[in-house]
Amino acid sequence: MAIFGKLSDFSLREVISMIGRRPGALLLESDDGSRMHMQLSDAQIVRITLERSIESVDEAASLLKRFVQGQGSFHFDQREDDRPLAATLQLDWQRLLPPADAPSSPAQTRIKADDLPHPQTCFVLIKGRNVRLDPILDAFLQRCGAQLERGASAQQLSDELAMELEAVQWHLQSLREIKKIWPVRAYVEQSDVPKKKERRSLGQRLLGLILK
Amino acid sequence: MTKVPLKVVVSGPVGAGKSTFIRTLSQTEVVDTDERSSENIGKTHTTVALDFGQIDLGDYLIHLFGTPGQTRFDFMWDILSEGALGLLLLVACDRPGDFPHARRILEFVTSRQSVPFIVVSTRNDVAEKAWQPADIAAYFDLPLEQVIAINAENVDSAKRALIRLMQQL
Ligand SMILES: Nc1nc2c(ncn2[C@@H]2O[C@H](COP(=O)(O)OP(=O)(O)O)[C@@H](O)[C@H]2O)c(=O)[nH]1
Ligand SMILES: [Mg+2]
Repeated sequence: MAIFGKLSDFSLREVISMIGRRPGALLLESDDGSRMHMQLSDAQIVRITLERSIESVDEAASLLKRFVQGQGSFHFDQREDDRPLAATLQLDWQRLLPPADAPSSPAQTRIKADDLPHPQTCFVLIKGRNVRLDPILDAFLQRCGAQLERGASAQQLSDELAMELEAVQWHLQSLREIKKIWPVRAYVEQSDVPKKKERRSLGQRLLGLILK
Repeated sequence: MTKVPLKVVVSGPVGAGKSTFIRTLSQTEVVDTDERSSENIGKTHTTVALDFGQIDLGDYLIHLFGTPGQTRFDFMWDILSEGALGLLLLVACDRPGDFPHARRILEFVTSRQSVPFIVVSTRNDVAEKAWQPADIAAYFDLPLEQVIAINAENVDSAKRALIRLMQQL
């Protein structure tokens, strides 16, 4: 497998969460052409090279910063049977990445307004998940945690908290990327058993017809 | 006997293959609503209204509705999905830059409508570099069964998307 794209479309946090525990090579390439190679194994970074091997955590963190800010592109290749080079590091992402932050102004951020959650998309809080948040995002969650526990949209929160809609959308997007909140799936969550049964049997009938 | 009408909504970003998919599967002349686009979206014509096609399955008549991908039509994503048999969200496997927009559409619709859906990856026959279904599933946070890779220009391949949707009902 390979996943690739621009870090203006996918946050580095999302890329990392998609990679999960898959072993392989992650290449980050900045707009000025410098390339940061990382070898990943079991959700850890075991080697970083950027022309030379990077062996200090501080150096790695400062290098990663601009990628977190949405500059450049990424490419990950899963490599199961690769004989890894000797690990020079044993780093988890948590130690490298700054806490998830909320953008102070949309103009400073990488996400296009069209890619923000729709004002009426309904989100719920994932209570069991602990994440490190910057103070702004943490304060936001303090204010609307109760609403999000029941499920709420950016529009509802904006009305209830008297906060600008766009600001709420940015906060929700940040929380969503680190999976602290989740969009409601009306289909899965609805518990109308007869209706589900009916739908399933219609599906079977249609399958019979289309496969004929 | 009159046929039972069923609605299947085909949604996704501009360039995902919605018009192609509907044209490939439809047994009737597709109502072509493409018009010259004033926005810079990398092609001169785009769907501004609905693509529409039909598939006759004996007792049932499937109506395929393609929604316009642009955000200014977001009200239609929602309205159309109401009462639909299912939703097919199309994404081009070689255009990851459009995935965030596709996810926005999907999450908006599915958080409000109780509609079964799958994500359909297109352009697998032409892509030089492609996201595989498993990776697309990881991005959209869906089980692998809810993602399928097809060639929207090929009838048998496109049909597999409908079959997969029916298996998800
Ligand atoms: N070969 C191939 N071409 C495709 C496929 N899907 C879409 N295309 C092409 O991609 C372009 C955009 O498709 P279109 O149907 O207009 O996208 P729409 O904006 O979603 O309606 C067209 O040139 C299609 O011919 C596919 O699966 N295979
Ligand atoms: Mg079209």
